[in-house]
Amino acid sequence: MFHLFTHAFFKALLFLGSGSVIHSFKDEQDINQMGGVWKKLPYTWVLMIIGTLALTGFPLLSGFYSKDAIIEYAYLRGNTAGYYASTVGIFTALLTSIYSWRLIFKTFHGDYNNNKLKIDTMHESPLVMLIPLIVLAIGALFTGYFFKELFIGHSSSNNFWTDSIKFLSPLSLDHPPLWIIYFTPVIVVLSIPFSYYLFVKNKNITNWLKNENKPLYNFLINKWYFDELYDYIFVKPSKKIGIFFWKNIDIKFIDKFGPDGISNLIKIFSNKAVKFQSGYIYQYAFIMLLGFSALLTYLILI
Amino acid sequence: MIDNLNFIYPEIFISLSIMFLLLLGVFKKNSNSLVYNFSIIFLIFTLALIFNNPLQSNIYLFNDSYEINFFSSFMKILTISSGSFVLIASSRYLRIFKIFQIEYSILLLSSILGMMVMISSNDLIVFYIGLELQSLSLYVLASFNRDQIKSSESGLKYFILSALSSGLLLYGCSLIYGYTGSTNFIIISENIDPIKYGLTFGIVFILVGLAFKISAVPFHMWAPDVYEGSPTSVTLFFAVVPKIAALTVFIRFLYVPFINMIDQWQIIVIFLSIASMIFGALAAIGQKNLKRLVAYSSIGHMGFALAGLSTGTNEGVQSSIIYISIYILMNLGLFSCLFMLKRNDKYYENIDDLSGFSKNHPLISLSLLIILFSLAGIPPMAGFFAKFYLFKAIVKESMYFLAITGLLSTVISAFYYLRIIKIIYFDQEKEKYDSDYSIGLKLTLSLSTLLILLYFIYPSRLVEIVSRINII
Amino acid sequence: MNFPILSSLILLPLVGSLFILFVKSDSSNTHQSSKYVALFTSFVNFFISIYLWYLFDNTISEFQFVEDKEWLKGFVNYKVGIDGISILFILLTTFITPLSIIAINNSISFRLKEFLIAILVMESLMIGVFCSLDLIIFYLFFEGGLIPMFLIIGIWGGTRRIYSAFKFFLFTLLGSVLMLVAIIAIYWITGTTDVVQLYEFGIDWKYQNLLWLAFFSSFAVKTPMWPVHTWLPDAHVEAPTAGSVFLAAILLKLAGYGFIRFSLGLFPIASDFFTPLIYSLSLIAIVFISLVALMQDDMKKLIAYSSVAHMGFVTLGIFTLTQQGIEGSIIQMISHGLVSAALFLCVGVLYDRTHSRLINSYGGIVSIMPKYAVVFMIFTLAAIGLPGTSGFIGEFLILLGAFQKSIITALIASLGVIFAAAYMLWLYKRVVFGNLINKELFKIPDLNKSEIFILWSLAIPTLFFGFYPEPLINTIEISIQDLIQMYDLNLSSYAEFNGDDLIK
Repeated sequence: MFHLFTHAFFKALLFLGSGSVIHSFKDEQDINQMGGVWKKLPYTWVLMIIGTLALTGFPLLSGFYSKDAIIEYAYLRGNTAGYYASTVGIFTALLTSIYSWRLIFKTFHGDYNNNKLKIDTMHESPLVMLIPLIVLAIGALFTGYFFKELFIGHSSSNNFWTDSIKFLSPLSLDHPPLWIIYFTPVIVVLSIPFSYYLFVKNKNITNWLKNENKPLYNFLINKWYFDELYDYIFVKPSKKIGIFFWKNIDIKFIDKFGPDGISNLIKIFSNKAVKFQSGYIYQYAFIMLLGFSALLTYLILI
Repeated sequence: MIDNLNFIYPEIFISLSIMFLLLLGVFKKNSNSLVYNFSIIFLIFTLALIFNNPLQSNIYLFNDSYEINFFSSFMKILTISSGSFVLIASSRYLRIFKIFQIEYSILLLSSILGMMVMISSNDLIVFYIGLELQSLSLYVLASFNRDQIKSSESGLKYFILSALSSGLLLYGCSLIYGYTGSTNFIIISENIDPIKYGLTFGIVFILVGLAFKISAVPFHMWAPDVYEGSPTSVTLFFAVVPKIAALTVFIRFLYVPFINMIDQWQIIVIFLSIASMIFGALAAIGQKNLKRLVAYSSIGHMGFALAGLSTGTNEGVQSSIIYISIYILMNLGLFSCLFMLKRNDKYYENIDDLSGFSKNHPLISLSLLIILFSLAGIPPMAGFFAKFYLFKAIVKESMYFLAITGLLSTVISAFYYLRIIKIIYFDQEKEKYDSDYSIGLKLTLSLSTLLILLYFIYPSRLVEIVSRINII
Repeated sequence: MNFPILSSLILLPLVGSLFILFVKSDSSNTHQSSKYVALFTSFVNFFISIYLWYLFDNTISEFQFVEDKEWLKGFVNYKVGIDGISILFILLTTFITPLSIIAINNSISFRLKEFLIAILVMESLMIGVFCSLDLIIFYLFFEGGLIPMFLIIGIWGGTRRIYSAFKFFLFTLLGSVLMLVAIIAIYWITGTTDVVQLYEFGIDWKYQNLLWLAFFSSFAVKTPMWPVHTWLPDAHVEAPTAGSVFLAAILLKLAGYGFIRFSLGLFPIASDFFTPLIYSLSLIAIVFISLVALMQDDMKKLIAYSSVAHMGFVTLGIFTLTQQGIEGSIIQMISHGLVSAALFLCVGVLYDRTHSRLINSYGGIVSIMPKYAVVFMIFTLAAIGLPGTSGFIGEFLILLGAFQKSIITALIASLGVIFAAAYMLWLYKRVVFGNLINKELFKIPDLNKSEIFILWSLAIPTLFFGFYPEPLINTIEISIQDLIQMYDLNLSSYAEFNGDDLIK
C-alpha cells in the first residue's frame, strides 16, 4: 500500500517528465532517437533524475522507504516464499535501476541522435508543464520519509489502516538483518555508474550482449512476446471464429439454406410450373382428366 | 306467378336491351359507339332495377327454380358494376385494336345475362342454361380479335376445354338427378343420402366443371393461354366477371343442396384451394407477360376464395365474398394501368415494358404500387383486409394447415408482385408512354386505387353488407 | 374526450407527405420546398411528442391518452394509448425523423420528393406501432412499415439494393404472417384483440407456447436475432444513409418493443418456458456476431453486425424478466437508436465525400477532419458502453439483471462487451488514426454545419442520458414494475394450477 502511494508520485513524475521530453522532441517517443539534451532541458533533466532515483529506491527518497519495506517484510515472513520474494525483489530492484538509468542516459546524455530535428531547436517545456512536475518531484522526494510512520510504522498510535487490511499471520516485529536493509540501496546506488558505463561510455558491451544473445534480446525487446501470445491465444482465434461465422455460418449456411436457398428452390419449382404449360390442348385436357380422376379415386378410397 | 315477374325485371330488361341493341346495330350504320355507350347506360339502368328490388326478402320463382335474395342481388350488383367498369375502361383500347364493333358489347351483355341467371339459379337445369349462355359469349369474345392468331387460338382452346368441362358438369347433373330424383336444389337437399357413391361422383363431376370456370388448379390450364391471347379488355372481363358468377354458383351448390355432404366435398375444396394458391404463386414468378402473370395471380386468388368456402360456415362464405369483391377492385385497377401502357397506338404487355415507369408516370406508378401491394396482401391496403377476413374464418374452424399454407403462398406471391414494383421503381427508365387517357380509364383507375388505399379508414361497411348474407 | 394527441401524431406526417405529393415537381426549387415541408412537419411532430412527454404522468401504470373508436364493427377497435414504455420509443421516432431528413442533404440525389414521402409515411407508421393497443392495429402498422422501407432500400440503395430489398421484405413478411395467424387465433380464443383486456384476462396457458412461437417468429426476424439476422447487414449496407438511420434507430426497436409489450405481457408462461432459447440465441448473437463484426471490412456492415449484437443484449435483458433487465433493455434500445443512427451518419459523412465504405480506404482522418474525429469518438465509446454514455447504462442494467438470473449467461454476455470494445476501437483506429495513405482523403472537407448539427444533437442526449438517466428510468419504471408484477402473478397462479393437477 505504501509503495502504491509513493509509486503514484514518482511514476506520475516520470510520465510527465518524459511527456515533456517527448514534447520537446516534437512527439518522438523512441529513446534511441534522443540523447545529449540535458543542457537544453535542465529542469526536466533534474526532475527526471529525481523521479528515477525515487523509483529505483535511492536512499532517503520515497521509493527507498516503500520498496525496501516490501523487501524487508517479505524477508521477515521467514518462509521460503518470503525469501524467494525478497530475492526477486532485490534483483528486480537492480534491473529497475538499470533500465531507469538507461532511460536517463540515453535521453539526456550521450550523443544527439535525432536526425529530424536540430539540437538547436530543443527548448525547455513551458512553465505549465513544469509546475506539476516540480510538485510531484517534491512528493517523490519526501513522501517516503514523512509518511513512513503513518503507513508502516511499528509503533504508530494512530493506526492508519486499522482493520482495513487483514494480515494472514501477525508480522513479526523483529528487525531484519542489517545486511538486508543496506543491500538493496547499495546495489541500487552501484547500478548507476554501471548503467552509465553500459549505455553511455561503452556501448560495445551492450551491443555485444545484444548480438550474442539475439533470441534472448528479441524475446526481451518484444516484451517477452506477451502481445504475440495474446494475439495467438485470443485475437487470432477470435478472428478465425469471426470469419468462420461470417463466411461459413452466415453466408454459406444460413443464407444458402435460408433465404437464398428457398428462393432458388422456388425458382426451380416455378420453372417447372411454367414448363408445365405446354400449349397443347390434348395435354390440358389430359391434366384436367387426371386431376378429376385423382379426386374421384381419393373420395372412393376414404 | 305473373305478379312475381317484377322481381326479374333486371333480367328481362337486359335481354330486351340486348335485342334492341342488336337491331340498332344492324339497321343503323356506324352505330358502334352508340351501341357501346348504350350498353353502358343499360347496364347502369339494370343496376338501378336490382336496387329497386326488395333486397332483403327471399323470393322463389318458376316452381322454385329461380331464387332471388340478398345474396344473389349482391352478386348481381357486383357482376354488373364490374362489367360496366370493364366497358368504361376499355373503349379506347377497342378502338385502337379495331375491334370496336357492335357485337362486342352485345356479347358482353349476353354473357352478363347468363351470369345473372347462373347466380339466381336454384335448379340444375337453369344453372346450366345460364352457364352455357355466358360461356358461349365468352368463346366468341376470347377470339374476338380474329385477325390475330393468338386470339383465335385462345378462343378455340377455351371452347374445347370448356366443352369438356361442360360435359363433365352435365354428366354430374344427370347423376345427381338420378340419385335424388330432382334437379331442384331444395328437393335435392331433402332427398340426399350421403352414403351413396353416385352422389359423391355427381358432386365431383360438378365441382370439376365449376373449378374449370374459376380456373382452379388442376383445371386451370386454359387460363394462362386464354388470358394472354385474348384482347386485354376481354382478359379483364375474364379475370373479373365470370369469377363472380362461378363463385356464387360454387357457394350455392355446395351450401344449399349438399351442405350435409360437407365431409365429402370439403377435402376436395381444400385440395383445389391449396393447389391453386401454391401453383398460382409459383408459376407466376416465372412469367414475362403481364397478362399471363395476371392469369396465374388470379388462379392464386381463386385459391384463397375457395379456402373461405372450404370452412363450411357462414363466416367463411362471407369472407370469400369480401375477398372476391376486393379482388375485383384490384384487378380493375391493375388492368386500367395495363390499358395505359400505350405508345404510338401499340399496347405493351410485357413486364419489362414497365421498366422505370415511375420516372415518367409517377402518379400511375403510385397507383400501380398501391394496387400491387394490395394484391400481395400488405397492410394497410384493401387486399390485406380481404385476406385477413379469410384467415379469420379459416382459423375459427381450426384449419391451421390451410391458413399457414395460404400465408406462405402469400409470401411467395409477394415475390412476383415485388418484382413488378422493382421493375417499375428500381430499373432504368424507358421511353415515355402516351398520356392521352380516356376519362373512363382515369375514372376507373383513380376510383379503384382510392378505394383500395382508403379502405382501411372505414372497413366495416363492406363487412356489414356482406354479413347479411347467410347461406346456411 | 380530450384532444386526440396520439392520432394527430400519427396523422401529421401523413398530411405532410400529402403536401409534398402535391408540390409541383417541375419547378426548380421543388427539392427545397418539399424538404422544408418535411422538416416542418417532422419538427412539429417532435415538439408535440415532447409536449406529450411533459403531459405524461409517470406515476401511474395505466395507459394514458387512450383513444378508442369503433373500427371493424364488433371486432376491432381503433385503440391507441401509451404507457411509460411506448412514450420513449415515440420520442425516439420523432427525434430521429427530422435528423434523417436533414441528413439526406448529399446522399439522395434524385427523387427527393418520393424519398421524403417515404420517410414521413414511415414515421407515422412507426408511431402507430408504438401506441397501438390492439393487436390488429399493431399488425397493420407493423407490416405497413415494410412498404416504405422496401422502396427506400430499393430505389435509393447501393449496387446490390434489389437483392437486399427483396431479402428484407420477404424475410420480414414471412416472419409476420405467422404472427397474423396467431393474432387471429387469439381473437378466437379470447374473443378480443384489445391488449388491455388481454392483459386483464390473460390467455389460456395451453395455447401460449404456440402463440408465443408465432409472435417470436415475427419479432425474431425483426430484432433480428441469430440465425435470422442475415437480412440486416444486406439491408443496411445497401440502404442510403437516411434509410439506414431509420432502419437501425427505429425499425429494429419494433421487435424489442413487441417482445416487451406482447410476448411478456400476453404470454408470460410461455415466455418463462422459452427463456433458455432466448438466452442462447442472444448469447450467440452477442458473442459470435461480435466476432463477425470484428472481421468486416465494410464500415456499414460492421455497424450493422454490431447492431445485431446489441439487439442480442436487448433480448437478453428483456427475458431476464427483472426490473433492471427490462429497464436496461429499453434504455439500451433508446441508446442504440441514438448511437447506431449516429454511427451510420458518421459512415455516411465519409461515404458522401469519398464514395467508399471500405475501412482500408481510410486512415488518418483525424488530421483532416478533427471535428469529425471527435464526434465519431463519442459514438464509438457510446457503442462500447463506456461509463458516461447512455450505452453504459443500458448494458450495465442488462448485465445486472442477467446476473440475478444466471451468472454464466451474464459472464458470457460481458464477454460481448469486450468484443464490442475490440471491434469498435479497431474500426476507429483504422479509420481515424494511422497514416494517411489514400491521396483522395487530402481533399475532403470537415463536417459542414448541418452535419455538425445532426451529430451533436445525437451526441448530446447520448452523453446526457449517460450521466443522468433519471428521466428515462422514471418514465418507464412504473410500467415495468406493473408488467413484472403481472408476470409473477401469472407464473405463480400457473404453478398453483399445475400443483393442483399433480395432487389430483
